[in-house]
Amino acid sequence: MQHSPTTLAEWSEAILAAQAVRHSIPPEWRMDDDLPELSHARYADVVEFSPEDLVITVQAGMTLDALQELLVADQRRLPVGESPMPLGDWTLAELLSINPPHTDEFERGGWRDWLLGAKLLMGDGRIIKIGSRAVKNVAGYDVQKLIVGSRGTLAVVLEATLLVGPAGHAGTNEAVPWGTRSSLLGQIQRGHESSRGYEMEGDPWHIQRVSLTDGPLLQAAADGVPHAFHPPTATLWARTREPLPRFEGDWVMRPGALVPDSPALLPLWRRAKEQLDPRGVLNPGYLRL
Amino acid sequence: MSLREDLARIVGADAVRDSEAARQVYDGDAYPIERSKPLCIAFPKNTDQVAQLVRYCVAHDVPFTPRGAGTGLSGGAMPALGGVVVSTKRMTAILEIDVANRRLRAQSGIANKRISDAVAQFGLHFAPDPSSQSVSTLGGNIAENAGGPHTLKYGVTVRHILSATLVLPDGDVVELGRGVPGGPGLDLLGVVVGSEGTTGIVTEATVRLTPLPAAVRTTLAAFPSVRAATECVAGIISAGVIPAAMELMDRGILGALRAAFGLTYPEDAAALLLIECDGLPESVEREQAVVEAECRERGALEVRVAQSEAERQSLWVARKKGIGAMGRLAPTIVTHDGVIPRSQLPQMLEDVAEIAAAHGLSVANLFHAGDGNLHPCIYFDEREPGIVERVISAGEQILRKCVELGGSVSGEHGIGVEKMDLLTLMFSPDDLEVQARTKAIFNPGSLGNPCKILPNQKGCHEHRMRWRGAAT
Repeated sequence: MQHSPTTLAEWSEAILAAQAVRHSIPPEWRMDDDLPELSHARYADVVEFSPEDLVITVQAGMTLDALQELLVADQRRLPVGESPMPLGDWTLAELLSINPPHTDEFERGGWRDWLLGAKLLMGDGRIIKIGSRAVKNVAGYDVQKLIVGSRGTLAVVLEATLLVGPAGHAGTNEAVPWGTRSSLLGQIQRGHESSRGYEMEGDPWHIQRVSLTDGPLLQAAADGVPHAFHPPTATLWARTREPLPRFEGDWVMRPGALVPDSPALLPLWRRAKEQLDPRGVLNPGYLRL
Repeated sequence: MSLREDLARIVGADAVRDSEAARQVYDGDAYPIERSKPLCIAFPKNTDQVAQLVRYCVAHDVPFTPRGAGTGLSGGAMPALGGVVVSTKRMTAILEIDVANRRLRAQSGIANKRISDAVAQFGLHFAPDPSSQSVSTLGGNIAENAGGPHTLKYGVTVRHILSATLVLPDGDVVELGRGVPGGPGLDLLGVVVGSEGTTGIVTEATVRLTPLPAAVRTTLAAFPSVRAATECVAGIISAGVIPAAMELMDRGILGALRAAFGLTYPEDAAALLLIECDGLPESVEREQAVVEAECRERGALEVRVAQSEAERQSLWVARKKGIGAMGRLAPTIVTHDGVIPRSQLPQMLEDVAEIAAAHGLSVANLFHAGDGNLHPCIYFDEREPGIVERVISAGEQILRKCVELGGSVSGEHGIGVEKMDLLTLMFSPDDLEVQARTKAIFNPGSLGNPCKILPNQKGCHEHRMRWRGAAT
């Protein structure tokens, strides 16, 4: 069963009428569940766009491709780099729920950095505002940090205010396809000259693309599982001709339920769910508590 | 046994103070309006001692308030309900410098600048650079999510904290973050940064180090009007260039700089814009070309570009010594902190001038223009009857205007006790209830840094008049 609200009142009514809903999870990331679907399909309009401020507010059903198309018309762009998973047809609700990595994350930030404010639907039907439209803001608790990457288990993002960038920002990454070794080495040499450099040989995790910037994030696909790490933390700096090692602290992003890194965090995760979704109505099972 | 003796058993007799003088020193931070004395000040030296102190306070129902250098501007370190101040003054060790991975781990009492000084030899630095950086601590920067001139390009503190050890308000110790950016899961660390010490006490943190830029170009442009300077800011951003820093100083600051340091600027200059571009040489040159073209197009009277590091430092004098120079203008200065969308800067600066004039007050502006982060500085003589009330009223009107324009009541100084009531300009009761629930994930009780950020907290209202009374 799928329900696609078109107004704020409909969103509230839909959540109040439900015992449990699934929302904001891309199809390939869904668990094998039979939850009724609350869809953003008919909630995808622009709310406000200020190209001169590099800020846009949209309804969260807008896809990344649609958003980028709209932004590019005004010489703007959300600075999402390459990703091992195709993100273009993901909605913003899905992107914010999953927080997928991308190649420019280290330099340009990620979804947690770009979400300046939002309108949220809580599990009790209330619609609330977090953050603001300002690019810098320390007023109150940064609830948006908690929402991004929570797999929709704490709230439903209805509108998102995002920090965007210029379309042709100087210093744009050059993505170098793996295999063009001479080109890669040239880039590496330039990197060394500016006190940042990486050398690598071998392709243990089938590296698809390498992006060389102030601090690149490499994306790889190991055994079909997207994961991400960035070379400085892979102890590559100043080392030569060694394969990319795995390292303590890198992470793997898997579909399904989120699990805390350590048992010590479990009480905090539980309390987050109890405090923000006490009815347990939002994406039950997507946090393993 | 007395409180002092109990605490001494945890941190040592030489690491507890409770004299009248000490209690007065620790009765607040750099926000001068509200004060409240603690019973005791404890100076732990590590995470374990902080955890023991917190557990002791919880067991004995004693409020506790963390404190770094006390440079906060909104009263976040004021011990609102008395109790114990937990100072990180003795927690200043660098624990690990990981050059290969561009990371540094330190105790939270370390001064911000010491981090950058320690890694400069490796061509790295810690990017957040609040004006207080020579003394303000890593823990304080984390608590306030501190900014600074160069956070326009590099981002505020939260982007530079990779993990942290947190003593929760019940005394449990947790490690948040993985030591690398991003990743799946609930971003508890992202909530702790900027929570003004109300979600626990950060005792150690791993920070991200950023390469020093290969090239830097610094420009100081003088404009005939504030409007022209602010339009230049909007023009540069709109042209797709995000400089490392973009700082604006108006006529009030220029007058003070002339008087204090003999600095000279074009006679009819009404505003100075300091713009710094950094990065790889080729991209810096591209950005610099846009910056200079925009300055001239907006009618700059003079455009000075530093040709050496010494010249660069001299151009920064106007920005770095501006507030100090204002001491010449009046005995008291109140610096406000609000944010607006950058395109609204021209209008907002005119509104600030009008609001100040309507209150019979003098105002000067020196602020992070690139972020739209205003710092109107109202200068006055507090001995003049009724003037403090007018200063407070003007400040509230300015912040109200910021919110009307889609901005925020605080860009980098925090809410603390100063702006609790103003949060209701931005957020509805339902919005604030969700914020309270977010705080309760970490701090469901009322002992850990009480009476901060959220308005109308139980048990706080009746104390408020006492804080204000203590400061006058």
